[in-house]
Amino acid sequence: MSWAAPLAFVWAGLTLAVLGFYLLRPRRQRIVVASLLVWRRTMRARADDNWLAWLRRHALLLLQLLTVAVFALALARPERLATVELGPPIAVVMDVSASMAIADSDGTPRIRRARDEASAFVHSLGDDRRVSLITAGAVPRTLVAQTNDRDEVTRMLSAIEPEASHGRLDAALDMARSLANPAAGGIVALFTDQPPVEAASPAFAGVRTVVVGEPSPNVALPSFQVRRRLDNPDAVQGVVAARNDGTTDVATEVLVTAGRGSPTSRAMSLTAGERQILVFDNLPVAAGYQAEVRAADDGLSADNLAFASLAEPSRLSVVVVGNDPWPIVRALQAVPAVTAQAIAVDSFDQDSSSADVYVFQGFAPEILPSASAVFVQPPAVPSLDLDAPIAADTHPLAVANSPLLQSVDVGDLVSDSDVTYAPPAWARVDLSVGERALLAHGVVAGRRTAVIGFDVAGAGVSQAPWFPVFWSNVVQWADPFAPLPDGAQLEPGRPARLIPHPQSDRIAVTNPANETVEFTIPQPAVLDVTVPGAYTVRQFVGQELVAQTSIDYAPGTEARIGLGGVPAGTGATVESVQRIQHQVELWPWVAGLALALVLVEWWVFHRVRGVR
Amino acid sequence: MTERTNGAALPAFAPDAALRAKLANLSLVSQRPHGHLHTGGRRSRATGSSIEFADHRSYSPGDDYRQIDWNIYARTDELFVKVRESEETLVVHLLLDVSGSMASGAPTKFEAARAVLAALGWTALASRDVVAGASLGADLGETFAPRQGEAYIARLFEFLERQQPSGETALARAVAAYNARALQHGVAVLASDLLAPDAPRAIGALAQRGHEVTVIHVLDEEFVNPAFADEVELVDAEGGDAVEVLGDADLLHAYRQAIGDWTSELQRFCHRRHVRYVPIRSNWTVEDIMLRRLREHGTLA
Repeated sequence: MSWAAPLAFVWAGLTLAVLGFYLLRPRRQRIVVASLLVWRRTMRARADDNWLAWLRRHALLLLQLLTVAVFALALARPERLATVELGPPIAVVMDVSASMAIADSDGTPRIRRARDEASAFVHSLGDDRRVSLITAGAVPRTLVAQTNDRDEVTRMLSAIEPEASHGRLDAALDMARSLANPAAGGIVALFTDQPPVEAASPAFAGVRTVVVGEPSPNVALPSFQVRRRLDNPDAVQGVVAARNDGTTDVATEVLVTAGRGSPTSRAMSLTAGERQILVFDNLPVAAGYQAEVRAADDGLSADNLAFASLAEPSRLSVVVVGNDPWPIVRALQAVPAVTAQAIAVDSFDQDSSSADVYVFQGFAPEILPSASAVFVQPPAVPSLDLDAPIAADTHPLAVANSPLLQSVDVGDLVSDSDVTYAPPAWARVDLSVGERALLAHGVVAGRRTAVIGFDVAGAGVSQAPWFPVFWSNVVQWADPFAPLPDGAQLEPGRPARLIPHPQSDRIAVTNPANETVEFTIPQPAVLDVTVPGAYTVRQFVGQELVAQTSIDYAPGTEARIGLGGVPAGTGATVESVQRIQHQVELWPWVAGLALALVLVEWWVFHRVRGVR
Repeated sequence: MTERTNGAALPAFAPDAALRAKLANLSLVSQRPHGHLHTGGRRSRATGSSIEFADHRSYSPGDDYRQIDWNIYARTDELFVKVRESEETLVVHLLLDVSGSMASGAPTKFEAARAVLAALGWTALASRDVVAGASLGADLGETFAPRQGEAYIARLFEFLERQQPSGETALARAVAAYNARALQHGVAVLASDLLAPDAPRAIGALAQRGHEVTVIHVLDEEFVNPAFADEVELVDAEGGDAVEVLGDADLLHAYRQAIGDWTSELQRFCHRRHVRYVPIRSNWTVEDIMLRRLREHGTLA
């Protein structure tokens, strides 16, 4: 037996109070009798001079002491390790993607059909089965975890509604496996309108899939991009991908709208499962573009829209401060829209800094400028939790998906002059040597900051083909005007943290419905996408607009929904029984015992010893 | 109310006129001769020299020749002597327990015992019996010398009036001291609550002395049926000893049962020694005790 709150035994000290009250109680009444002759005979007859008589006389005290002790015991929350036999866990995954809102021919939405199937499945299970309920939306969520309460599962099922986004079935199934691993006897039951072709993928291995919904025609726009024409920068070229997710050929119309102008349309025919790419030339320059695909009897409209903005690169001013800045400056000068300038360390005036990105080579100023900062082999910087560098002694290991190392081959990055740092808490490591970082980046004190430990001036590095690419990646990531960090995925229900410009004191976010939310720095600013469209992020210094960025959000491709299927998999039987050990709290029983003692004490006081 | 007898004021415990009138026809019963030579107010089975003829018997050498019935000798030529009935004097010993335990009760056991003994004393003196008395406590207390005749009623009452309950009880020692006074045996009436371990020994000593013993066992209602609850400390009125008891229903029931056992033991003890055992309560009237209880037990007739 163990105790969840052993400190509660301090309450047992109240027994001292009970003893105190006992000692301070009113003295017992003295009665003068003619003789004790008969009384002594009586007590001898009852053996009143033994310990039982003592117990009887002090019954109330003993009961009170026992009650206090038992209450203290209950407060200490005794628990014991118990072995419980449970049926295998079951995870019910409900697809809540937008397509689940489609109504079948009888008018019943797929989500309702899925809810009914799931509810019947849950109630067909034995009482020993623990059920988890997971929704597979853009962000998978666990609504109920490992419960035997069928009513709770049913209640949560009835509250599930489709979301206006795609469903991340793979992530939801991963989550379900962690709760009910089929390899360990668990069951994962998926209720979805996904076609078997996708259900047959490795992500669906061991998953009992119940497909709901009837075949339905559907067309979608998987992608939409715009760019300036190379031959004519004043014209814009739009590339639209359209796909027929239905089972029959459909005639579609694709419309592209530049800003608030009139749409440009194209008609085309898509066979079942066909994907076509349309190019719209000579679109006017606009802040944003919208593409839409239309088809008769389209079952799902959520995937018919796509948005795009012209990715106008920011014009960045980069200052390289160091004693050997030129290899870096030359590399930066090759990056479009970047103006690079070299300053000797002695000439650096931190009071007159105005660049967007600073590269400090081999030193760190006492006061950092209000700009992004890149440190190349800096000394220890306590304000950044950066310790003293240590010489690297082995090959570095690159971290996947590093924004600074895109298209960079670091295989030849070996130099005796490389140094490493203990990664600060704010930094994400890009190149590691053991537990230390050769390259790291992150946001600290509202400033994009990167630390480079390798010798950028070395011949093997500055002459490497990837060197300009690396610096292009660095300044692209360090662009202080880009509020959304690279790699951020926009999902409904998952607000993305915005990184404001170091100088800005206010951020305003306007959604497609022209609703604006303002954030005052240092209040955390977030972008919460709810509806498809372009979201505008404006950054201010006082009343001055210092940056404006358009962020497009489209729910993405909805899965192929047209194939449908027959419900299957319900009524599955599970043979294996799981024995688990878990702590059983005993305090309710102990508390009940204490209450019973109180009742006994009351009864003894009023019935046995009461005044009559 | 204070009455006067022979010019002296009667104490409150003395029998009033109405009771005395009822007691006038009663006398203490003696079931065997006690061989006293005094001329008393009651006939004795022993023969004596009084004028009351009883029987004849054959002459034996040493008989008073004045008692020879010559008429019979003349007719039968044998010597017979006249046997005359003796009028015996009964000595009544009134023994009053004056220990501290007698002070309890309402009215107190002492008051009840004294009133009964006063009434018995009045009855005895009125019947020309000889009355002696003593108070018994930790030892033999004051004694009342044997007296006969109504003239000593006031003296007896004065003796009783002087007694007050106090101190411890040593009945056996006190009785032994009384027996040592070599008074004539007769009817001994012991009025006591018998709340002493040696009470049976004291009773036995009286019986062994040749007395016809009547034990008036005086108990009070509060003692027999105590009414208290919760924890109490009981203090002995005599020794000051104390015990803690829990006055629950079980204990009180056991106590009452112990009272019954105790009195039964005393009663059996008295019966084995031909001692009259008369249990009374202190709140009973003297008239009830005298006219009913003592008569039922054969002490008075």
